[in-house]
Amino acid sequence: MTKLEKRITAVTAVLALAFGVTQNVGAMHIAEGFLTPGWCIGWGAICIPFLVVGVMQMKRTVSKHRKTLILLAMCGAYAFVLSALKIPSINGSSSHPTGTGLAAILFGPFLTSVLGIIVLLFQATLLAHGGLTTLGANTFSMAVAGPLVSWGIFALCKKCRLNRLVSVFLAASLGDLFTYCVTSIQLGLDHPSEVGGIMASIVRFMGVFAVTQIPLAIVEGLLTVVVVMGLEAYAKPELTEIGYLKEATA
Amino acid sequence: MLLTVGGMLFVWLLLWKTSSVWVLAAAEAAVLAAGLLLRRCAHSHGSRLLIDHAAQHSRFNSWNAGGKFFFSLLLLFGCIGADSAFLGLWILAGMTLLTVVGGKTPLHDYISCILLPLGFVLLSGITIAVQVTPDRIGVFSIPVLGQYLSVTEAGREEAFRLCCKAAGAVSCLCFLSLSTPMGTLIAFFRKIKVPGIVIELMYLIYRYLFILLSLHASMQTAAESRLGYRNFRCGFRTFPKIAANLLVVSFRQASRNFDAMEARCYQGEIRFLTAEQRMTAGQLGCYAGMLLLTLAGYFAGGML
Repeated sequence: MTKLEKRITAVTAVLALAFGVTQNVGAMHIAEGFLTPGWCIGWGAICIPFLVVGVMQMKRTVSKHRKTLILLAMCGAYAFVLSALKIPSINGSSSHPTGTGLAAILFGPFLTSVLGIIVLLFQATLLAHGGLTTLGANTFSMAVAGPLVSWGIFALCKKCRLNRLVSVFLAASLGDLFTYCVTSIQLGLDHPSEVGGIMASIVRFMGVFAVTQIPLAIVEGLLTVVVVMGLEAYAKPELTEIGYLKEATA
Repeated sequence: MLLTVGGMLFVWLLLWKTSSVWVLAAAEAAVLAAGLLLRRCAHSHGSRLLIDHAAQHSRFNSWNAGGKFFFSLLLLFGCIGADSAFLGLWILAGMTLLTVVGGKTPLHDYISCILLPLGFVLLSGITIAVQVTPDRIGVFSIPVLGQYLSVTEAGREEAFRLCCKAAGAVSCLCFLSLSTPMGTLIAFFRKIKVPGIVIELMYLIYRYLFILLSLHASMQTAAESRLGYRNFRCGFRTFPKIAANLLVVSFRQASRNFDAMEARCYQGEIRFLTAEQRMTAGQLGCYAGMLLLTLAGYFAGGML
């Protein structure tokens, strides 16, 4: 335990330094009022199938393992609390990981989409972070597209018999990056540049995000690895309950 | 801080070369003063969720949640659909008055809540105003890596309009969240037939938030009393430790919670009691008045 703790401390210290120099201007959520009504509804509609499958899956899982509901709720609350906390950084701005990669690895993409939309709604109404009209777009980028990629990569790595922690890292960081690409595309589609149109605009938003998001994605990946390590050490019964460890060790 | 710097940059982008240097300087000074003043007004209350607390004490708390929800949503879509800068600012003013005067939300609470999203709106607005172009065009451009970051007249006009719209939309969101506690909002979602399992999940997450926040607050106090945040380096070391510990503790807490529920015959369904909130004529009248005012603002904005 102490050895693990030492390792965790060492890695997190490095992470923290990285956090300190990264500053994320809250770009991960599209702010309220930034999309035109057509796109608001459109992105929302795209999310619906995922949410429906997610709810059905959740019903099935919960009827089998009732404890899963509590665990899901705790994870949602944890994700929210992490995003509400300010990480001390040089200029008073805050940065925080999305945590969707972790959820996707633990619960699969569909459950994550349901959990994600709830957390996003809470962030919008309790922290004024994100928004109601942009809920659909944010759900698509953060709770559907990102987790799908994370989950796909994790499954692929498992097939290739890659080291589990390496695959966790790849899944979380690439999922994170993909989330920002989708956010850039969403913003670019709605606000094309005067010169060069939609593509130029997407490139512009990606350029803005790349500065902060590439380091942040790496940080997110490392942080997820640390958390998974911690979970494997401390919360084995729960992990078996939700099916993560059973699958992983089998 | 974010808002002040963003605002100053934004004003510079908007006013550069349109008028005399003195107007620009005066506007910058005004933004700086306003930013400093707002910074003094806004303050946070530690781990407590400010918005939730304010919502519980709002005069609109007892109003029908569905009414408030649809009213805010209607105004929100009106605000972003109308595509008018004047209407955005008009709605911002109207909703601010409604929340602060009508709902009796303390002004500094309101400012603390709205400041952060407004800062993000400004920063996003700057991104909209600046374009990457191969040639030197527009009002001014800065060469970067063989390309130019240019600001055109149309670009900055669009950015200004977008920011006003977004500010109006943010004020609608703030009205809803500062007048409706999450509990009543979830009860309303149950009424409009959101699946039961999602409702349960929402209730549980909402409750666990406070458990985790208070756990975090005590960890924070413990760390602070041991000088864990005495300088930036220590803070960077302390924060991830607390975050990792919080996850482990939250899992343990969830486990205990589940045992307690099982002991009380939990069968996979949780029932929550909610107080009934009637929709009264007074409430409808208020919404209708606000909507009429908004319409008036829309036409006035069209004429300007």
